[in-house]
Amino acid sequence: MSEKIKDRPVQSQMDRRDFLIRSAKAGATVGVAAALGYFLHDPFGPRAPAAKPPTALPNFSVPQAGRKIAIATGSDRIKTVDAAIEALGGMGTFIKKGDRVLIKVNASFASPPSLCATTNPELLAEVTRLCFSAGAASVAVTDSPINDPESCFSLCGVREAALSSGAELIMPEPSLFTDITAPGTTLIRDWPVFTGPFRGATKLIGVSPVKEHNRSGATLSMKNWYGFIGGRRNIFHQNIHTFIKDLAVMITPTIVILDGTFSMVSNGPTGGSLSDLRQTDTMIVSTDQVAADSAGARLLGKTPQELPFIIKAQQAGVGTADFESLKPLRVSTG
Amino acid sequence: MRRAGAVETCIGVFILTLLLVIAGGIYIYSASSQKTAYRYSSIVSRVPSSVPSYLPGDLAAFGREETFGPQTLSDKIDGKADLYLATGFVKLTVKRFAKKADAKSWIELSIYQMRNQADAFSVYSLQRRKDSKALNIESAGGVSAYRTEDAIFFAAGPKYFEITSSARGLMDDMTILAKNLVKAQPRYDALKTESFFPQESLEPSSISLHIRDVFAFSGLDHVYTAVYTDRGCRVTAFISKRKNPKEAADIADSYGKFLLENGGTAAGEIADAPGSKIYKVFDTYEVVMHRGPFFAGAHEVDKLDSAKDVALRVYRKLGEAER
Repeated sequence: MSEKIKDRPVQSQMDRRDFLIRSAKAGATVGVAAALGYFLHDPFGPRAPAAKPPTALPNFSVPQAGRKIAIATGSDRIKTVDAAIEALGGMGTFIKKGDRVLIKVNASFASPPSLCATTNPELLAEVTRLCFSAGAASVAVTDSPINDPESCFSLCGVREAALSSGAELIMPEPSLFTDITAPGTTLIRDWPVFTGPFRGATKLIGVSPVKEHNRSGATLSMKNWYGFIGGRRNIFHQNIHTFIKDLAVMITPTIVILDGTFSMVSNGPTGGSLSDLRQTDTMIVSTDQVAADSAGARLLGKTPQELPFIIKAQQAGVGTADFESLKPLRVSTG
Repeated sequence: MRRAGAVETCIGVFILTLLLVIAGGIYIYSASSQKTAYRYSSIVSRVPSSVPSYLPGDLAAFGREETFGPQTLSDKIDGKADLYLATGFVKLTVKRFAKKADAKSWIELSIYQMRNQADAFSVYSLQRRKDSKALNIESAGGVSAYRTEDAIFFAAGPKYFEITSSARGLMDDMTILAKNLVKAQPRYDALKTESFFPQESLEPSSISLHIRDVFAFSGLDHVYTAVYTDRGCRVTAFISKRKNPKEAADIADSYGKFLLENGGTAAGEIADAPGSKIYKVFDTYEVVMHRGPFFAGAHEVDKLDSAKDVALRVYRKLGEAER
């Protein structure tokens, strides 16, 4: 044992100079690490205040039109949407000559129109026609399905309906997204938003189907704005009601059109079979997206209280959950 | 002072490089993974479709095959992903086929690879459409199937299949496709627990398998339910096979406590079902019992007599299973 100790190489003695050099190096390493830690430390995490100043999206409402809602009943979408818009004073109340109209559809899924998981193409074509008839200079149609937009737009019929009716189709290209913080929102902070389609647009119309939704309870007008969100947006499903409220705070449309000709009452939001649909023969058009959703909820047999995003949006001042207080203009197309 | 040797220097450089790579990876991931503006092409794994052997002759591949994992499933089916992710989802493969004579008539085949046969049956059963019709496509064991006006849904082994269509008039092709797919699957035995429900007044195709948080009780998992109609009253019966009789008794006890803690009151027992307990929960009745390794009962029944009658029939049937 003692021999082994004796045989170990003798460590050379550290002199004062070496000690100072090593101490300086160690100190520099610790200093750099501490500086990096300080520089990279995020004291707020996901709840951090916005790095950029809030960016409000354009307000597309028509103040003179006021808060209105029309509910048309009938099985023919073209007739019901025409009747509902006419009841509100006609498309000319909202669209003026030279307006550049943006229509936000639901083209989230590559599913056929018959399944009503997406905006009905015939309805889209009719709304486009009405916009042009009212004097619109241009109409653009958009959405940003995450999965394979080419297939989604084509197979759900939106592409053909838009292009054949003279509208432009705006596909979700990365360059059309901008990181923004939407004022008044809880969760939309320094997050990519599909702002490109808004450039130059003077009016915004949302056209969406009525569907049961596994997570939020329902997907109606306000949730339709989800398509304006980029990034890994499904993380917001964890706080879906607040997020839908945020979408409604962020986006003020000219009108929303809620197509409840058929409502997806089960296995939403994708459905998959005609068995998931119930014929509810209703078209809702409103300048108040909260009121529209409140009326649409009834088609799914739900109350606004069962859909917290409606109540949250009302509390945020977006609109009213008591759509009856707007004295809905009810029309029947037979 | 001794200078570091070559080996020590190499190890030091390696460790420092490794740390730098890890730090860089963390930085890149945190900066880009959730906020990348638009990233569909990078999340969908795409491979060219070949013509599968199970395809009917008048159909051709339409578009490309797509696959989705747990991280990307919601990109395909949005909010419905929750059901799958909570039930042992592994992978989704989507393929489309169109009529050779009419490309507007197309079929979408979705194959959900689940962790096991029970998980596949669970997602199948929990999405069963009302007014659907049973579909006999079984050439091997362990297949459950139904059809609607325009779609076919079935579970075979650890896979759940959906065949949906763009137009009416494709059902013949879809049925052939389903049969061919079933033939291509390995044989699996039918799940046994579902056979323990008594047949009398059982609503056809009502048997479902709930994997977790059943009846809002976090301690309850893998429960089969079936719907009965007893003298006009709808009764949901349930059965769950546990590891052993003690576990079944323990779950019955803890579920009973859960009911009492949430507004329930004791409302007697079924005389011919030893160990059974009845609870009144607001305006409905809950029967909780255990027999051998089985935890069973009746859930949220409007009429006490119907709850007791159906639960007793289940109890007796479980006695046969024990033997």
